[in-house]
Amino acid sequence: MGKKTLIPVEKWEGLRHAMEEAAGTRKTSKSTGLLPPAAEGEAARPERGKKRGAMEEGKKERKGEKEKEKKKKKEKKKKKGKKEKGKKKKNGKKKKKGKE
Amino acid sequence: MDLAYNRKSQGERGSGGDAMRKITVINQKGGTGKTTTAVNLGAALSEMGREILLVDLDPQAGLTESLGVETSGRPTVAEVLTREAEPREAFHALPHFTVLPSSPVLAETEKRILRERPSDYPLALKDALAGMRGFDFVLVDCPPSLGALSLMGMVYSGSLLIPLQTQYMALNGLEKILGMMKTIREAGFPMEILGILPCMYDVRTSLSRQVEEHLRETLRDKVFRTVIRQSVSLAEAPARSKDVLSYQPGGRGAEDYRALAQEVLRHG
Repeated sequence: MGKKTLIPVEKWEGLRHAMEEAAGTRKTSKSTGLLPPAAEGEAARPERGKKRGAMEEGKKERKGEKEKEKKKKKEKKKKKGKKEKGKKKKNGKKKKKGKE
Repeated sequence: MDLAYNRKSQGERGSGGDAMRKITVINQKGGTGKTTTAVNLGAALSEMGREILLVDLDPQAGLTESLGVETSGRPTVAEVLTREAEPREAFHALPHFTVLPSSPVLAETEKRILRERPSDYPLALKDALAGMRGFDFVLVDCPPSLGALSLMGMVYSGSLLIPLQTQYMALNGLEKILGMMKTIREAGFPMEILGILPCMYDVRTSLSRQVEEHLRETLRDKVFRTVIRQSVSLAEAPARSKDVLSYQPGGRGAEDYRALAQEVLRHG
């Protein structure tokens, strides 16, 4: 009769992998980093509820203003377009400003 | 004293230019034989003519108590870590070795160091013992956890001795230490396994035999040839505030730790 195996083979396989990774002989994905709470952790990780790469407050405000301006410009263009549409001549040509 | 051996080994490892050989005894599992190994390996190396410093980095102060070191009113490793005391002020000289003792205060000190040195706390022990001379071996006994103190011990020596009970549950702990080791190495600290030491080996059980056999098959030269067999003398010696070589020089425990010391010296 064969010898009874008391510890599953997978356990040893896992240990072999862990040892190779610890010794640096097996290339794997990088671990999350040393010093989880204190050192790298706080510097590298964004604040809770903040997505990685989230912008600073100032930048956000500036970007918001820019977007508002863009929207205003778009709206102006639209209004202009509508007005001009209304001022179309019968022959379909647009009325040119200051050339009357 | 064979200091040439030590210089050579340090140079090869590149983990420091001094002649001191630093070894951290670590396992996150409790009761695996960390303190027993630190004390008795220290005693065996001392018997072979080496100067030994034992550093107790466990707030439970098992090593300190097992050797009967009295710390009341004197600085301990806690004050050394916070630089409130010089290492030599905290040293206790015993017949076979010098002890840098611990006390329960160390638990608070650990938190304080984390607050005060959040970005480089793993270097606390290395900084505190920098420039220390006069020993051939420094053996660091870690607490049974993979917290900040263990990390300090690992970074200080860069060389790990892992006592491992020849039981199934112990293997889980080993995997975690290896994971931690990988992380530390990736952070740029040199790290090697001096050896995994099968402990509390019960020759009568097939589990002990199988674990040892598979360990050697799987981890090969990372496992010490020496096995620490179960022995009553190893458990009795601390009750007499002695190492096993002084308590029962001819016993099984003393014999095993002498063999381990020979192997550590041969390791190079």
